[in-house]
Amino acid sequence: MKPFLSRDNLLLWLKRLLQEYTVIAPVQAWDTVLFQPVKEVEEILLNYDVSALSPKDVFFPTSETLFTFERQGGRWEARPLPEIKKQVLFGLHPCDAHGIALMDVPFLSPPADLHYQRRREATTLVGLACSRARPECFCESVGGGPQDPSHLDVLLIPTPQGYILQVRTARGAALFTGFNVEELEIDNPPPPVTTPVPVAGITEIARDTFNEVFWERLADRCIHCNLCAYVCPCCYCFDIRDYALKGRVERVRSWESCQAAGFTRLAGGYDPRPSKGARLRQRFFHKFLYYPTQFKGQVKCTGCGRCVRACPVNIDIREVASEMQRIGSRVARAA
Amino acid sequence: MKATSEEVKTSVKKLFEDGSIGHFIGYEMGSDSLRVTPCFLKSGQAASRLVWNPLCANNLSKYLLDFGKVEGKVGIMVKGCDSRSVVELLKEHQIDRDKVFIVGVPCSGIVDREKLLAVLGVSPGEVVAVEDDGDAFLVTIKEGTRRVKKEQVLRGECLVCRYPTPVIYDMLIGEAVSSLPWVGDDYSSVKELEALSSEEKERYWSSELSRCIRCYACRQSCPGCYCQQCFVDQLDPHWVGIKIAPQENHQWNTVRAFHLMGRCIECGECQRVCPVKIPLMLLNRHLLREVESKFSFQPGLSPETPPPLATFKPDEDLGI
Amino acid sequence: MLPDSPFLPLPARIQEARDLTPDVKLFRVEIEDPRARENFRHRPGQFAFLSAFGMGESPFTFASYPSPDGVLEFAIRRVGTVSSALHELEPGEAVGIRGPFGNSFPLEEYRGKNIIIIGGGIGLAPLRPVIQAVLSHREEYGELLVIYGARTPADLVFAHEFSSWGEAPRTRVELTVDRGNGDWQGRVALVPTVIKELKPSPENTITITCGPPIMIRFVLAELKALDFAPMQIVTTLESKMKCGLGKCARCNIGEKYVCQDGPVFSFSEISRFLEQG
Repeated sequence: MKPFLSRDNLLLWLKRLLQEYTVIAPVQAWDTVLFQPVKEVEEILLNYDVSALSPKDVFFPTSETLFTFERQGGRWEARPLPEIKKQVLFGLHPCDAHGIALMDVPFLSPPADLHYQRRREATTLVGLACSRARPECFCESVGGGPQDPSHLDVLLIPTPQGYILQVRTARGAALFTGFNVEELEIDNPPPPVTTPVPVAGITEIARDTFNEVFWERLADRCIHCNLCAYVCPCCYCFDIRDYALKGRVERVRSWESCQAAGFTRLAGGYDPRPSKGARLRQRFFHKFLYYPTQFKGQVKCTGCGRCVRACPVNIDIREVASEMQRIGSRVARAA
Repeated sequence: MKATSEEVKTSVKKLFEDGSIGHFIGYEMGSDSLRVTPCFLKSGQAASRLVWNPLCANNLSKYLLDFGKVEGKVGIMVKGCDSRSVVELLKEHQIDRDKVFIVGVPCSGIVDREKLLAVLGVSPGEVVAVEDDGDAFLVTIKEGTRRVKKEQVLRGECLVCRYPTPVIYDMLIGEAVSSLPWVGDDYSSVKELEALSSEEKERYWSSELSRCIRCYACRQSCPGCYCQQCFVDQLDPHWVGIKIAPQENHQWNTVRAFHLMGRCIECGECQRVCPVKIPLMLLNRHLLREVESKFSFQPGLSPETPPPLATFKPDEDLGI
Repeated sequence: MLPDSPFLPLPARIQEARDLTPDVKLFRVEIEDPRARENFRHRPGQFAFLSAFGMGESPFTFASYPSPDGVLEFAIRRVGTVSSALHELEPGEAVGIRGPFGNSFPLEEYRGKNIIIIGGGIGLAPLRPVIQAVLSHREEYGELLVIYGARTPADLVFAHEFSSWGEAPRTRVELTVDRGNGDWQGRVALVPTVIKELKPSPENTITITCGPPIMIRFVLAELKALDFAPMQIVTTLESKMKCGLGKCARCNIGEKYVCQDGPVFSFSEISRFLEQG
């Protein structure tokens, strides 16, 4: 017997949530699906495949004012930060929850990033398992899966009759206080299957591919559009700049991408990473080698496939991983 | 006869062999059967990688800016729209005419991958090939072939394309196409928007531009945007900055559209790459219509015709 | 309640701003809150972010050894938007400071050794705290040789301190310029040439170098020719840094984050980096 919500009950529960929490959910926005705060339950897409952008901006906004400094008596005083109301991020797929967990590591490791931490602590994650895999999905190749409940407070698994409910944490349980959840004898639906991508062991062989001319060749087509980093659920490079306004200064943080020309350029003009190949290689190395090394963990990729879909010139992380493995084997054989 | 991949391969190989080119920029198949990727060749042997089919969406002309200092001519494959960017780059002295060998391919429409998948109800793994078949696309899938009417699955820009045949070329592969049958009043969607009230327009654009995440993919994919330092990256003066908020988003998108006024050749790459599908071409085409009506000028047709917004004649009637 | 964010700078003031060269100023910065000032302990080699409110923050290495009055010194060249904004500020004006960040020169390991400081241009600034450390604990270290050069005599930073350094026991200061002027009586040669001329011995010696990338390249070559091992040659890397916390990933070079694992590195470490920045 499993906890279960019929579709009607789910909608009832969501209506109830909306009264108490800000609910951020997948909605239809022009030709795409985006995560946005909703006013009515009817706006929520319960049966979407993939959103154009990941919900990482709930915790790491595209841009946010870190501080507002006000000029007072010859000094610059920081104003207290605005309150973050409690919120529910609803409907994210397991790959996006995995992305949030990957971002938690750098942001929350000491000294913790207060701005990220506040939003994170104010949010309960209610995920939706995937009924279909897109052709570009490969979550299973990076330790995830279409029904993986990891990193979620609640997971809903869609079935023809309704939603199997998996409450994982106390925070998730709190969303159901006073709400009647039925029990049903029901099997988990068979999860969709993703196409395997050879990511296993890539951290170990990445170094061997560093000097390959493959990177410059691949970079020939890169147009530095930043899309790969922006649509990714776990890329987190950022820039900080001041905005000078009358009597006050806003220190703003915004997304940035290591693919932008000039990302590493110093004032004065020297750039340790001037070539396109080096920049492109940095992206994949950060994902497959530097991040796992720095944080002693998994690769920084959730297999969501957004970068594959978004790249205007079809630089495909799956092909890159395969090529890196191929080069790695070749080097190992030669050794 | 429409150009085929085979003709393209043979022609390009010959161009390498007779020394006409030292490099070539074209298309090759990408990471699945419905993806095509830009391809950079240094020899005739590699020409066997080239393809030409209704998936070849990218405007390759911007890559010419990377080849300024190479030895030998650079060959490039251009569709009608792409050839107009080459004209603009020539006009604006960004490339040398005698360093480029333009291989023109008349185009009868490019497929929008997502629309095709939706209409067919299949996954890319099931598709083998997509070919041009007059007023439809012939899609070979594992079980057989399906014929899909072009208008259902064309890229937005192809629906209003006025220049299917390249306007400049050193070699043309395939028969010229004078016009595309489905193209009617090319500005109908723009006129619809223009007819709205100020308040309605403000609401429309506020809503559309609120999705902008300032990834600048539109700028990076646009052959008309090649400034060493874009105004939006300047710190001093601080025109826009990094803040992503309604006012800054408005500024970014409208100023970029103004910078392209009279220069945008409607390839539509900006809208194709936009991750949140902002209807950028509506804005660009509105401004194009302004230039056309006031100066009787269309960009991208002749490298010699000076751009009206960059030219001043003392006896010009400014209508003020 | 002030937000407890690692991005929040401490309020500080410019106590003094003095011209060292036509484009370099020495800033003496004092943290406003006495307790914060006392608790702020930096080590030679570390850096801090200075905020020119309204323009932004930039990282600058400390140019002084910690002093009892808690005043921090930075030698800042006017080269970008933040440094230019700092140059416009008058003494008494408010700035922000965040730090100290990064690793430091392992001075304890250098005890009993001979130290060679090789600086070029503004590169002397991060090395000055080491010189001050050695001079204030003179008996603990072996010989001190400072080889320092700049483009022209006017570009030599901390010129007013050279003679007092040279007066200390077992200490030598060898200056040079790329181009002299009418008044310059000293050596006219590139820094690597001076190394070649002086032929310092690698025996029980650590060299610390900082300067323009091209100078470092030739300095390394000269030191290798004199049989210095890579682990005897230490430098401080300059990287574009934004957060100082190992989060924004901008200073990621090879497997290292300059703001956490550096900016001080020996060349044996650097040679193991994947990327040679």
